[in-house]
Amino acid sequence: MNPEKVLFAFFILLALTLNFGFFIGEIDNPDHHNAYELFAAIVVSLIATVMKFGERTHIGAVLLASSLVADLQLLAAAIVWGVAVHVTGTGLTPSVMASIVSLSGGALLANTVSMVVVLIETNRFRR
Amino acid sequence: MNTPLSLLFQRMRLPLVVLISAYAIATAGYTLIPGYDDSGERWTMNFLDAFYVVSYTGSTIGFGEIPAEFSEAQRMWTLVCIYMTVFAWLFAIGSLVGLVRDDAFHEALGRRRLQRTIRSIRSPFYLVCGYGGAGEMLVDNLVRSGRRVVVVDHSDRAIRDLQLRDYQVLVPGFRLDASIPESLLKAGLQNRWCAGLLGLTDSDETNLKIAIAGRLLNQKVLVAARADSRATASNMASFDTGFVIRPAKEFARRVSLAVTRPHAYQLYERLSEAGARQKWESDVRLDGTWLVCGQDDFGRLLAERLHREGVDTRIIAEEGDEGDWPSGSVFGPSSEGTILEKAGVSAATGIVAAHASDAENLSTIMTALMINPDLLVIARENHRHNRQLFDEAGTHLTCSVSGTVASAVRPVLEAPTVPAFVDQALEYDEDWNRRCLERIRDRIGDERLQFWSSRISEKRTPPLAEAIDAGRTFTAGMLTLDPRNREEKMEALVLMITRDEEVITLPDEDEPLAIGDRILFCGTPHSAELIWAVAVDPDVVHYLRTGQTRLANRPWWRRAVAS
Repeated sequence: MNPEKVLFAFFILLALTLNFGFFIGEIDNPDHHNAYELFAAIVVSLIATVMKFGERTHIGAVLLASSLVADLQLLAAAIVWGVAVHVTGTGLTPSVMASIVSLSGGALLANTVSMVVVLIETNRFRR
Repeated sequence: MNTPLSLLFQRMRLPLVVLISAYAIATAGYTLIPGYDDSGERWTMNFLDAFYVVSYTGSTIGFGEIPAEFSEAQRMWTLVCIYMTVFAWLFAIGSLVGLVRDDAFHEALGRRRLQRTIRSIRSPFYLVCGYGGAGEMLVDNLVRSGRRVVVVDHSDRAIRDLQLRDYQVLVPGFRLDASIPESLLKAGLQNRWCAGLLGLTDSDETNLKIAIAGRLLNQKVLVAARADSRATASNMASFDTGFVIRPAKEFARRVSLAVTRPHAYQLYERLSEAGARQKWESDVRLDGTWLVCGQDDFGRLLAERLHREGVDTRIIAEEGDEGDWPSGSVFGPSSEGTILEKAGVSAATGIVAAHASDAENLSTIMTALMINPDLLVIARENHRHNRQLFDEAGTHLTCSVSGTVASAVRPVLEAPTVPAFVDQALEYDEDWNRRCLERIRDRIGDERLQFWSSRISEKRTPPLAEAIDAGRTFTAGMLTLDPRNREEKMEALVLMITRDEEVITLPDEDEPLAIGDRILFCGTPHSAELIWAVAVDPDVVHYLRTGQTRLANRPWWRRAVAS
């Protein structure tokens, strides 16, 4: 067992699960979506991206790309949240919440792709 | 292949993860730890404020306690944050600096840069493997003739030497093992501008591998390789290596020419420019007994050759059986007086010191000259830095091994027909060789020689072909007249014309040219450029033929096209 591989898979999976945890719930209900969960999702997603740096294989490039997409989506969600609450003072209206959650939904898709790619690679390695 | 960028990312993984974690922990902490305002009301930071505080704390800017005065708990957390983030930054920056100083990173960066340089070369270049004595001389020569060169050598020192040399153009040097085909590919073997591959390393096996790789990986390049042993030489010849140079054979050829045919040797030396002139008077008597000292092929091949030419030779070998060596051979260290006496040094005309060790050669020469001061001395110089010692020891002809190799390879690279001309010239008698040398001296003087060849055809030299097709006569002599003033002759000479099966060596000035002629020129680099005008400009052809300028009669737009 390679500890590096364990850590790698751990972060990718954690990014996916945290993302999912934030995403799940009524799309426009702020009570169903925790700010800390979004924060954790962003942090883990960033770490997962860094873990994929420097992979020179083709599959590594796909992984890095999907991870960057997830980061972008989650950061966009966080910025929408921050702007709505602190800058414009709109507050977490259902429409704002819906756009935040849908952005994180996009990130969820990217993280899922990451996970699928990791599974495929693992499977190929077994053979 | 490790690219610099992927290496950078790989090394920065841990520092970046640490940095992100530190920021994440600090930010999360600020949002959780409560503060109390003036009225004692409890408040906590939102993510925006928390990240703001962490950002200016982590970068050591320190705006103070924003948005409101901190509580004791928040100040404790700030302390933790300061040390955590500042050390995370130090770790990241330290890793980056360490990477910049890292040898592997430099290597990757350097190779990337060199490969970019090779891709940017937009003219034919030669790939020289092995930057030893011969390699260095050859690179010097090629660069001076305006050719581009790429060097591959496995030793760090050779590449550093190359970088310290002051060439007018950039000569990229790769520290790679030339016996691995991939190294040759990295150095640009399959680049479309690669014109030649030269295996000049000191190992026969490596040179053989280079020659094979050259033949298989790029059929268009000219492959020239050095082969020390007979087996390697015939092996290389078996798969059509463009040019195989065997130092021992070339040495034997040079020395036997110097001994038996002084004029032919002078011509040969003038054409190849190996820097080995005879220092004896032209009226000195060269016949008589010659002693050849040496154990390896150099001495043996020379003795055989001299014997064939009818020169009385005697070999002094370190050790050996009577049966393996020609009769009359003497065995023992040639640096000892008794052995030299035994070989008859006091009655001999000359001695050739052809040992593989320069110290042995020098001591042989010194001892022999002490016994017989009138002796003619020819030496094999194995390392270039011993040249001065050989001169001081009183050598009349110092034949350096690397000079021999470099000077044999260079003309072939410039024009592939040079060896054919040399072979032809050596078949003629001494008188012809003397006249040839005189003609070169008349025309070019002692300037550096360069060879180039050209072919008269519709495609290569349209104006010339047009004139000849129209039945006008254009002679070989006209080619080397100055296109700016026909009365002046350029420092160039037509050495040979190859026409179908016929070969005309050193054609007369009034020899008419025909379509399909392949012409071998020699001359100064400057004249080589001027002669190109004949190949492209109909006005120049007309002027050289008739002496009348046509340019002034033409409208300006035609003139612009012609120039």
